[in-house]
Amino acid sequence: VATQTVKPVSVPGAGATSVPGTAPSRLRRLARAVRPGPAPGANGAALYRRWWLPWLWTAPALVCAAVFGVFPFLNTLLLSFTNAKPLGGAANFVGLSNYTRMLDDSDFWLATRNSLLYALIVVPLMVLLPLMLAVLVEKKLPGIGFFRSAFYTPVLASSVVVGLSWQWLLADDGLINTWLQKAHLIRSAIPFLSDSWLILFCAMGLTVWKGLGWYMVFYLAALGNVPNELHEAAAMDGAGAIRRFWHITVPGVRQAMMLVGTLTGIGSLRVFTEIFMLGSYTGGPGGADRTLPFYIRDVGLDPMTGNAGYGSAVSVALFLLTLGLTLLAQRLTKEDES
Amino acid sequence: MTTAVDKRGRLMPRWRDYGRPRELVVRYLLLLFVLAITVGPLLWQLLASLKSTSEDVFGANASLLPHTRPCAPTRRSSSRCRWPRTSGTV
Repeated sequence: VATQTVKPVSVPGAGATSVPGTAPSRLRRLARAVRPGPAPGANGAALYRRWWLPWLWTAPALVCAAVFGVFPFLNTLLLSFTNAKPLGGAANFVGLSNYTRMLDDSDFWLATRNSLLYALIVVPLMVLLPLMLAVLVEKKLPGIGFFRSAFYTPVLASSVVVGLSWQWLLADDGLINTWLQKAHLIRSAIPFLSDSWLILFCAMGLTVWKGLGWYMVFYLAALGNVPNELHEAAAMDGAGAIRRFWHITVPGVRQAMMLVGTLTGIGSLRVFTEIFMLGSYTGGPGGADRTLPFYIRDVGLDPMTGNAGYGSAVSVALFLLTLGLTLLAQRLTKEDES
Repeated sequence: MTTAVDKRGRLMPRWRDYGRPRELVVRYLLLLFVLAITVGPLLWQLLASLKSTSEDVFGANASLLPHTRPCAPTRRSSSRCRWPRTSGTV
């Protein structure tokens, strides 16, 4: 609770001390504005009687957002109309030529296809598998806490570390190929890390494996809101576990599924580490597995041959793709709510 | 029904209170399967880190468990090592 007495405030340059009740100085007005609690003779809302006061409190966050979010975005947008180099130097305005070049660039379309395919396969898996896992660990059983913690472990590990681990496991002479050969299931090693399609699918698997625990927690929270009475009533009516899952659990966590779908969709379009770790720095054989962020890094950030202007144009394209996906998810959510 | 009581006098659920036996077995088998998938690669990495330089991590001769003691490389550390002798020492 703020004190109601106002001490005399000395005003720099005024040459005298201003006293409450006399003509208010600037400093006194400021002191009164930022003082916590209601002003004398005013209600609680008087804390916000200065229009700029909320802006003052939010200024640090706004400055951070402007410096690290808005400025880089506007700068990228500006750069996409130039032929700037990654290491600086003179940049000339080239109009829409970066965008027209992008339309004729087969590597760009290949990266776009890879990114979209990644999202198309990873999103359904990431929506359904963590939900099934959450249903599996939802029931209170002896030792279930251990299983829940263990399933969350891959989330805690670094992407590079798990990428390296999977790279070793999937190598031609790695553990998986060795075991499959010892079990006489295959004759020659499966080229997990040299076939472009297999690299892409292994990277998808790695993404799903790493994200399972994270989204399982989302669904565990959502499953708490599904009334158990519905399950009991359905079970009494003779509904099996699978039927109850599709007709009670899934509709009950639909909002969480929308959220997970949106988040994984955005994350899939931004995937880089998995491809880099499994497909090496080239992004698969001949760069066939490059996703859009990988392509941006290749064309925009190479210090010798890179073109920051063109890389920025591809970044803008990726932004528009992500924005489109987000708006689509938002629309679907609204339709679902209505 | 819960009829068993622990040392503190609290009611303890029996296995049958958690569901039908077949359902429980299936659930635990699924949990173990997912556990092997999620923790297996990390566990393999941990075990590989315990192997000495003379052991294979790749190839047909690679084993899951390290054959040498984790702290065997030097005589000094070997003398201090408390790794069980029965675990396949060199």
